[in-house]
Amino acid sequence: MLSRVADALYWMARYSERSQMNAHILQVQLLNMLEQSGKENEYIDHWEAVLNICASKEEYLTYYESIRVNPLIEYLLFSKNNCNALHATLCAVRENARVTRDSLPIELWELQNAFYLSLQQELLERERPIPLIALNSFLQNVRKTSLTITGLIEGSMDRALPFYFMQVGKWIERTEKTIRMALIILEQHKEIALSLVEADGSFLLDLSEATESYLRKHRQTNLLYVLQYLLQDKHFPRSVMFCLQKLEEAFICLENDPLSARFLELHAPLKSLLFAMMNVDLWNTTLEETILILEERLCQCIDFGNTFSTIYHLYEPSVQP
Amino acid sequence: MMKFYESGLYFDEMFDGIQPKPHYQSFHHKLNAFTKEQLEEKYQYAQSRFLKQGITFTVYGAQGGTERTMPFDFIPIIIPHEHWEEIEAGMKQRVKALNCFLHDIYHEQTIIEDGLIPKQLIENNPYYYKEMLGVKVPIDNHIFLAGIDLIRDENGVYYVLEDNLRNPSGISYVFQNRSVMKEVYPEFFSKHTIQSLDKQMAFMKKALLAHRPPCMEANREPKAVLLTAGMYNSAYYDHVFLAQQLNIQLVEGHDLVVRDNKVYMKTIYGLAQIDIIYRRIDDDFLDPAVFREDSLLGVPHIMDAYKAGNIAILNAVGNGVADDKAMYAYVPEMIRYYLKEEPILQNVKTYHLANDKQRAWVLEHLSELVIKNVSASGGYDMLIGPHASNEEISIFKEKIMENPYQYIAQPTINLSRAPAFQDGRFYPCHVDLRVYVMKGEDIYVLPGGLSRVALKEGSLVVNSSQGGGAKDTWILKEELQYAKSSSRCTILDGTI
Repeated sequence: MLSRVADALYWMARYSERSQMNAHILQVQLLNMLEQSGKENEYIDHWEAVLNICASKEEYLTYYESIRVNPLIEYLLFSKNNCNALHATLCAVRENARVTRDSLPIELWELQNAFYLSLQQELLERERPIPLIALNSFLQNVRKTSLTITGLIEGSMDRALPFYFMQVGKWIERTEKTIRMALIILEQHKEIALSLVEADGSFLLDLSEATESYLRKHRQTNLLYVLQYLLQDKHFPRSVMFCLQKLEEAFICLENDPLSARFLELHAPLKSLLFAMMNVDLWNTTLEETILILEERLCQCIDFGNTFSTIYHLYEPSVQP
Repeated sequence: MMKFYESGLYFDEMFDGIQPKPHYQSFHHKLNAFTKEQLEEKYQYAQSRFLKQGITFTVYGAQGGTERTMPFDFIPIIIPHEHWEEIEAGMKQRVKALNCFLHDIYHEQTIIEDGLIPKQLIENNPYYYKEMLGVKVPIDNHIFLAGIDLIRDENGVYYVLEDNLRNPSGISYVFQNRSVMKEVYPEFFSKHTIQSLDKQMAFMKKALLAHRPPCMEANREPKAVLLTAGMYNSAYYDHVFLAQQLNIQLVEGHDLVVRDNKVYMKTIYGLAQIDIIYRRIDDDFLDPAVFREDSLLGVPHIMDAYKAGNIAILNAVGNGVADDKAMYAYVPEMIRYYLKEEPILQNVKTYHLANDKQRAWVLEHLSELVIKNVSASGGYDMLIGPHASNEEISIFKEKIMENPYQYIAQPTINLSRAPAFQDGRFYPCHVDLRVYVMKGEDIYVLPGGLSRVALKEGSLVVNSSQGGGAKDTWILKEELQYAKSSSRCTILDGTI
């Protein structure tokens, strides 16, 4: 497979996962804010967390003076200044699909293309601010389309190179996102005097689409339990542990030979990340230590993505005869 | 009952006066069973199919909405078997002669020595590449895919209007038009037996893989790729379609690299050698080390690999010399010279403006003639005399005086017409037909081709960049040429 095509498939999957997750996060917050007043600390905190998870507060403040809902929605959904705006990531999915359409099932391309066209037509030409009900239905639509796409990929794609490159992109993106969400919520707690056992983790559960699954297994929603669930549960599809296991599975399929140099080179850092994640002991560490550990894991994860790109020549300069 | 029109002075594909021709009768009958609203609904659905599938072309220079679909018109061009047989034979003959010509002018040049074609006409041609002199191309074939444009005059006689031997595009539309037609208008097929397109790609693939480069080991299977200019190219959909159908990788210039006169593609496992490139970028952009330095689309030093016999490039480099509008006039002579046969398909009479006598006559008769720039395409830099203002005529007069080699003149032909259905009504539009010819060890003609239609009423320009659309083309099978009125099989609308 061409390096360029592999790279585009990998990024298509990453952007697709990012779009789906960001749409979910925004949807959660748009509904959340209805019950809060603009003056409460929680309200500001939540919007800040969402801003930092989906983009960057620092960058946002270079364009806008303060955190206010309408400019924030514009920034997170449509702004050309934000490379992670939902519109930008959805376009990136479509552009990457367009250059790899000869490797994708025809229906998958058509679905993505049709969605992109409807997005261009229906939303961008609308008068701002867009009413909440329309925004919500748009975000719902992004998620529904993503789910259909996931089903189509699972149900119709050959288990061959294109499929596994997409899988790797998806699971790396998801791992990073979950760690990032946990980190940002923890950072906010640094300023509050509550311990992790006392603090409430339900906002983090909502953001990470984990509430339903978590509540089937646990009664308490304190932040410590929630963190442990999101980092270490082996069965919840958005937990870091689950994603890392899926990554390992994808590599085993990508490289049939477990003794090949490529496999060993990739498998070693992945295994060490898995062990490190398994051994995180949230009960006996301070908040600062936990933040430090998660920052390290996030760096490990990003490094791993880079190693992957290097080994499969996804970067132009590394191609050697 | 649908309201049509009278064919009038023009040759109409469907009607004689107000009566449908025998091979259109069954279609016409079916058509009458639909209401205008039903047809309108089907039309909208068909257009949305093209858009959703991303079967679009890019309009250069336009702001926003640069991706457009080619308008599709559902009334097919139906060609009876015996007419098609003649076209097919004529196409094969023409491509064979053009290939002989290309081989000759890059090798022995006997046609020039024998005085049939002025040496100057070839050497002054911007598409004649000295780099190709003496280069042996695989199986001595310069033309892997040709797109030859046909028109019909007021008597229904077919003429070749143009040969496209560089990168003829549009073949994917032939397949997609048929596929949308089958999906949206299944009723119309029920009483016809037409030549299917389903198996056609197998011939193209066979022809492609026949071009083994001279230095390739005999026991290896050749590895082929399609080189595209990328997704912003106007014909990107064509490239994707062909790569998929031929089951070859779709590559861009920067996916390829030349090492030791061999061409490699950059894969996830490192470099992998390739043997055949079906390129869809022009000669000028192919190799920045030899042709245009500023080309970002090509592969540096690919010409070295080509000359060393390590790679096949299809269509061959330098084909442009044979398909420009000035050389066109000599094709009948080429057929007589190389094949010792009389041309089966006629050329449109062409005047060379470098010739003093012909130029003088043409300048007197500009208002009756069509003037074309020999190196322009897509309907640009062209004067249609009978439709032109005095000002336009005098502008062309100057252009011709300034640069007579650059222009040719042809008589205006009353292009044939066929009905089109747009905006809820039927009206006659001018049509032409691009026929695709594939050549490997054998020559093969795709049954039908791309019928292009000038949808702007009265317009003569069929190019998609200037408001043209496309139609499906049906070639009737011999045995069931005209549909029987009472076949006893169940047809798709449920009646027996």
